Amino acid sequence: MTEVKEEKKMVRGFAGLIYAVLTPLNEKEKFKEKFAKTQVKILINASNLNYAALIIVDNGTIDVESIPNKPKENLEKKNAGWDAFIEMHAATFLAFAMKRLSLPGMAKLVLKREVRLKGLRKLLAMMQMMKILAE
Amino acid sequence: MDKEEYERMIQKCLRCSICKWVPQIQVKSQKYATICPAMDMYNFHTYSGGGKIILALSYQLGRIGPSDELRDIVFKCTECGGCAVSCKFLNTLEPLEIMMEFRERLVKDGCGPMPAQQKYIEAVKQVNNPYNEPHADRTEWLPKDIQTDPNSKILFYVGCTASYRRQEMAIATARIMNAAGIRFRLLEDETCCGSPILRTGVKDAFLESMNKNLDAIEALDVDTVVFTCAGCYDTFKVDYSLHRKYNFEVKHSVELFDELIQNGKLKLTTEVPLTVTYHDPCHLGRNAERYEEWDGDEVELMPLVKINIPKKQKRCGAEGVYDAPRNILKSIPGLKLIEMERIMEYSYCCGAGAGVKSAFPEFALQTAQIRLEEAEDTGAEIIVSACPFCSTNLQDGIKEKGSKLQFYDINELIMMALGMDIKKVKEKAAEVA
Amino acid sequence: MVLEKEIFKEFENVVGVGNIDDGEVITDAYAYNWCMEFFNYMDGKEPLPYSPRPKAVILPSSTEEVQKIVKLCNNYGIQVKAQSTGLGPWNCVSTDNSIVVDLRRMNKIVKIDEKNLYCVVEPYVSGAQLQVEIMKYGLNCHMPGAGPQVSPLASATSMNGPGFTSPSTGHSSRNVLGVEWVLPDGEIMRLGSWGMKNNPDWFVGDGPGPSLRGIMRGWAGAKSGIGIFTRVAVKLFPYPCSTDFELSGHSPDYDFKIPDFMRLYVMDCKNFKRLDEIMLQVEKEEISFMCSYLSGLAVMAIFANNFEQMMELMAVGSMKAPLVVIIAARTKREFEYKQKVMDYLLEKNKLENIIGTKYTPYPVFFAEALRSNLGLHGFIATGGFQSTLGQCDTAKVCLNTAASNVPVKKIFIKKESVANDFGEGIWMTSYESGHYFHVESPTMFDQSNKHSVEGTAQYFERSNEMGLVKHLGAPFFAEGDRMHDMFGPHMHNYHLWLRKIKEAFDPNNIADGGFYITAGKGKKGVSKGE
Repeated sequence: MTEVKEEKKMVRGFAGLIYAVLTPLNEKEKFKEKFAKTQVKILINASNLNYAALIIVDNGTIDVESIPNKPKENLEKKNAGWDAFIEMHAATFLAFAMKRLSLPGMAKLVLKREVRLKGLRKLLAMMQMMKILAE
Repeated sequence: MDKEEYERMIQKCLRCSICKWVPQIQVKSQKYATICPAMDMYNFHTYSGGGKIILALSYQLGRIGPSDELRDIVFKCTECGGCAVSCKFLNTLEPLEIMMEFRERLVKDGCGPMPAQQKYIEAVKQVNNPYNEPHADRTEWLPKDIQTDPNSKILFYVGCTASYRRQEMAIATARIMNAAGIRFRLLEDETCCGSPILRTGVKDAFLESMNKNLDAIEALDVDTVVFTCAGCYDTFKVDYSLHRKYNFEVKHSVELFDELIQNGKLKLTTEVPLTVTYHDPCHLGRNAERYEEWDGDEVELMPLVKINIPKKQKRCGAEGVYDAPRNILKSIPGLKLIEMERIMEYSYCCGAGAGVKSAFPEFALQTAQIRLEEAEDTGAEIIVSACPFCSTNLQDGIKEKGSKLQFYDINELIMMALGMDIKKVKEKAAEVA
Repeated sequence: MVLEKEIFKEFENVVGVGNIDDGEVITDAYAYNWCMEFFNYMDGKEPLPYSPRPKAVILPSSTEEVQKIVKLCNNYGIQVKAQSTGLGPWNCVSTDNSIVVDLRRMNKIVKIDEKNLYCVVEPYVSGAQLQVEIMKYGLNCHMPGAGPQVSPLASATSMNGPGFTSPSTGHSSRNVLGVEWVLPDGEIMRLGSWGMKNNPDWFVGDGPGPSLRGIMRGWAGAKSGIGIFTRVAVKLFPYPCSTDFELSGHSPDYDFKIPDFMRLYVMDCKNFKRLDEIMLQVEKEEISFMCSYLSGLAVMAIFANNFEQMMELMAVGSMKAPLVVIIAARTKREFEYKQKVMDYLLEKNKLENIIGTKYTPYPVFFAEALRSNLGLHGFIATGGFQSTLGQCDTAKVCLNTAASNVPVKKIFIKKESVANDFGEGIWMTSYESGHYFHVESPTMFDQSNKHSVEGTAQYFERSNEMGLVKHLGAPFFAEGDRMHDMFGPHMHNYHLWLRKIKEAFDPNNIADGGFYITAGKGKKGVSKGE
């Protein structure tokens, strides 16, 4: 019988940071309850770094995969399979994650095209996740 | 250490003096708060881990050039790694690696090693050992009644010091292995592991030694190589594996014997009513932590701020061999172990390493005496360790200090607990000391 | 420049062979220091971390040897610069005609008077060394924010002196009792009761005659610019909790048995107005061992020992105005009382303590808090950090300072000179239960990046100017002629008085005043309101 070794997958670059930040949600009961029936894939790309993060929420669990963000086509919906997409500078992401950037502030950056996003409604799920994380 | 990393790190010393002390939260008394033997001996900041990093920068910038003064200061260091453990509690510098790299650069520029070190390096090249003893006599230590097996999967790599100077350690290790039913093999053409060469910055000669040994061992069908010398053990485990992969396990004798005691193959039944304190050899402790391969990414999260994803290993000595020797000592009936203040990854060096014993014998001896005073203050009658360099230097220190302490190698205590007569082994030690 | 052979010999006769060196290698290491590059940049020089190379480095072992050294320096017109553990550019000489007196060999704890709560130390006793010895008596000492590896004597006599335990242990200047001072002319002055003719002792810092402690060190210390201090008596305090200090495991992930009756509170006050009120309320109750406002990122830093670990604490870092309070007690009753007070304040101000609910720090945090090792966490992010600001004032002014600094820092964040902490990197602590406060802005930079070094130096200058423009007072690293001439005219011309003091105490200009002041005329200014 062949032994199948499960190798711990490497989540690379910026995606690795998102992985470290978000996967503790798997231990939070509130997340499991609130997202029990949610299936969504959100792609976050840090424009100044390699490896976008594909956040996969699947019926109360969360995982993160890394996708090389060059060539650009890797991040297209048909290739990456996302339901929502957001792209910004890593510093902007940090500012937002640490509540140093408000929603209006974020909206301003969207208007200035420093933040690009698609699937706004599905993106709101991420905000809920960050809120649960902070609790 | 790559060039870029070296040139970046030597600019980042904060000159905070943390490298002179044990990790701050481990300070237990004023007397035993320091960790740097060079600072304790010479006092000028220049001698500290941070001081030498500054010299590396000064040299790089051309502020100072090769000179005997520079050489002497840089080589007055046992490369014990104590400064690195303390620094790296919070910092990301690599003081020990910087120092080793700095020595290599100085050697390339004709500034080092010390004459006494050059002598023994030459001896290694000629006769495969730094003591300039005939290579043919390397296995003379082996008593006739020790059982070996030329086809054994376990190779006993004795090392130069145990072969020529601390034969009692080699004999004790061999006897204990036999007592556990292990018929080990020896390397027919054992050559110096290269540790005393590497740590004086002569990289090429070290690599020669390394390849000689690995070629010889890999030609044999062995699973495990056992060491009684902490220096050889560390060199194989950490330094060899940085340069070349090999297909056998490395074990220090304390790891092997601890296992054998745990699984009942060695039964320690004879009372040994002694009070001992254990000295952690640097090369069995904090420095014996293998480098983990890291295939992650260094991500510049924001300007000036980089993060390693996943987290990179921080070698602070956590994976050193500390439990095995202590387990052994605790298994010996009647033996009482009292710890010194500076132990494990923040142990105080015996003073012998990195060519200091040869080049600066006074420094080595003074350091040993500092360590012995700490041992005396525990109230123990015996200081025990697991390294022939520590053994030699501490025994020299006992003599010089007129200390009432006795030194025992841990294998000697195991022999006693096995009910073996160690008189003959101890006589061997007296011959050499 | 090296010492002439005969002069070298004279010094060597004082300290013994091997305790003086004028070789280029030994001395070059003493020319280097953390942040020296900023001062070089501000002086229009290459921003390297080196001062001029000292003429020699000498290691005395006693006050008598120090005195002889200083007298020799007077004879030969050589300046003298003393240092102990030596952290910071103010340990560097300002001229190559200066020798460094490294006080490493003067490392005795001379006396511990546990009944009268003081001890006497020599320069090279570190904070940690002192603490572990006085813990045997159930006592504690003040340790500066620079960490337990530095010298309490240096902080008490010659440097500034805020610390994480300042709410209970005050500022270094407030802890000085008797002093033994080798003046720049080589005479020995004894301050306080140590100077009494009959039965001198160390327990009082004032007298005989007018107190000279202010002359000696003022607020910021003279950084060896007014002589060499060889012994000092400092106040001791009851150790805040049980002195059992049990660590296990291995570096850096030690485990620590948190003492009974010790508790951490981290509460988000949401804005500076509330922070001001709440911090004062807490401090007024005189219950805290530690009470600091730390910016969100700084809170992340004190709970981590590497940057990766810091990033796992983003939720903690999202707090807008976190107040960090540690209470500690020696008895259950005392602890219950302090907790009751904190519970009352939490409820009154509708605050939530995140510790134990949203976040639990590794136990080693408590060991570091007790050992005052938290300041060094500032180096985690980039390996380099220094602080601007450093005002000592009311809580309101300190918070005003912090708020005013944000836009200034953001300019340099945008320029990528300093690391992005959203401009709000701050550490603020109370002194002596809220009698006054300290604020500084830890700023992370990269020493190996020239742009960062130059930009950080520029930021320092701008931050200092801001202190003037907004009437926020001098920063705690106000040192050297340039800065005193900058601030003095706006602060009652203190710089003129400082020069007079320097002239009176050091007429031959023997004490290297590079980071203190040099005697001479200076510009008088007229402060508003005069």
